[in-house]
Amino acid sequence: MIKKIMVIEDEQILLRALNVELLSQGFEVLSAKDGETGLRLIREEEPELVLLDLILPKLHGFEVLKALKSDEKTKDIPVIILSNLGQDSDIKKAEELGAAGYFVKASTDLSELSNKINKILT
Amino acid sequence: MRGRWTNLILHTSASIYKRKNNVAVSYASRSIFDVFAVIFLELFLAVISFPLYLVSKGDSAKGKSQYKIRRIFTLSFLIVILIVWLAKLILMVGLPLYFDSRHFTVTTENKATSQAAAQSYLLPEVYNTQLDASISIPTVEKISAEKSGGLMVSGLGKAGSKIVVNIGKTQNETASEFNNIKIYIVNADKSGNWTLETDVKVFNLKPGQYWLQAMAYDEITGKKSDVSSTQYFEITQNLYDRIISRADIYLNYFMIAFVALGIFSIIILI
Repeated sequence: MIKKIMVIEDEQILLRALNVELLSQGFEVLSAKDGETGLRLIREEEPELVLLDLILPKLHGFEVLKALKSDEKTKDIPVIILSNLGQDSDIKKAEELGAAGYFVKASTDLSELSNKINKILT
Repeated sequence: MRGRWTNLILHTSASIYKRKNNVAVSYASRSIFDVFAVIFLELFLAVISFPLYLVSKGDSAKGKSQYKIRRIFTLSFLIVILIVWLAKLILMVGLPLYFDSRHFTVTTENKATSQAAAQSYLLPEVYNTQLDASISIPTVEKISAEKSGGLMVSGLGKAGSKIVVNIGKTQNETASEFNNIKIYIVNADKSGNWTLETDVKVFNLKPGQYWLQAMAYDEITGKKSDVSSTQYFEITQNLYDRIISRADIYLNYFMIAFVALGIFSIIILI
């Protein structure tokens, strides 16, 4: 069965690049450019994993994470943060809110991200 | 390969974010550097992410976003650069193949050339030799332009002699002002024919009026002929030459304006 991944990222180029990467690995990819749309789609589609940026229009990534973890329907969906923010405080906050992983864009290799996704989904 | 490419996009995007934040908090030259760094990175990202536009994406963006506008603008800028330089290449290479690059008019004036004035521009070793009226004064048969920008002069003189040719550029119509004199020495063959071909690097023909004089020098006897009458010729540019010579300038001005517009647009979107 093809696993669905929801990508919430406001940078269009990056969104396309992540789509290409995840599609090539055999995932079905849903995408959203802002927090509100992402949250709505997650509730409708119930993906197997969420790849979430933090700096988003309309609803901040942490708010999205909080909303997901407080909803019975979506609390068990693993969420991996992929963000430009790399402060320890942000990483700690993400862990406290229940994120399954945290990757900083500037220092992330997508192969590591792919490995993490595959590890979570298997 | 694809992994490296998507990594590059990811890291470039992250660098742009970091630089944009730096612009807000840094000062003076550092801030200016960050602005230019953002512009360069945006252009780079536009180039490397171009194939992504060919991949159909699930969700299409509704409405405009500043990122979409910026990417489209920078991509358009790159495409325009390519078109402009291609047009320039066609003009620079193609037109000279089909059209003469220089138009010549040649007038000959049999002015009484001042011996002293003429000799002052000759080589010292020739200048100090004795004049021999029996040595025929060289004649100039033809003056023509090379497409490379050099000059070809041919004529007749004493067989086996050295022909000394002075060429200069006149500011006025009379040869009263001599400047930028070029001196050439060529050999006349057994029939007395001689040909001078100037190197474009030494004598690049720009539009204007020029003068030419020649004299023969016999190495065996160590004597020289009198100086030929001064010949005047004019270099003019035809339409295609004007286009080619100015195309580079016009196109560069256009590109500067386009780049300035692009920089302005990118800055207001940061």
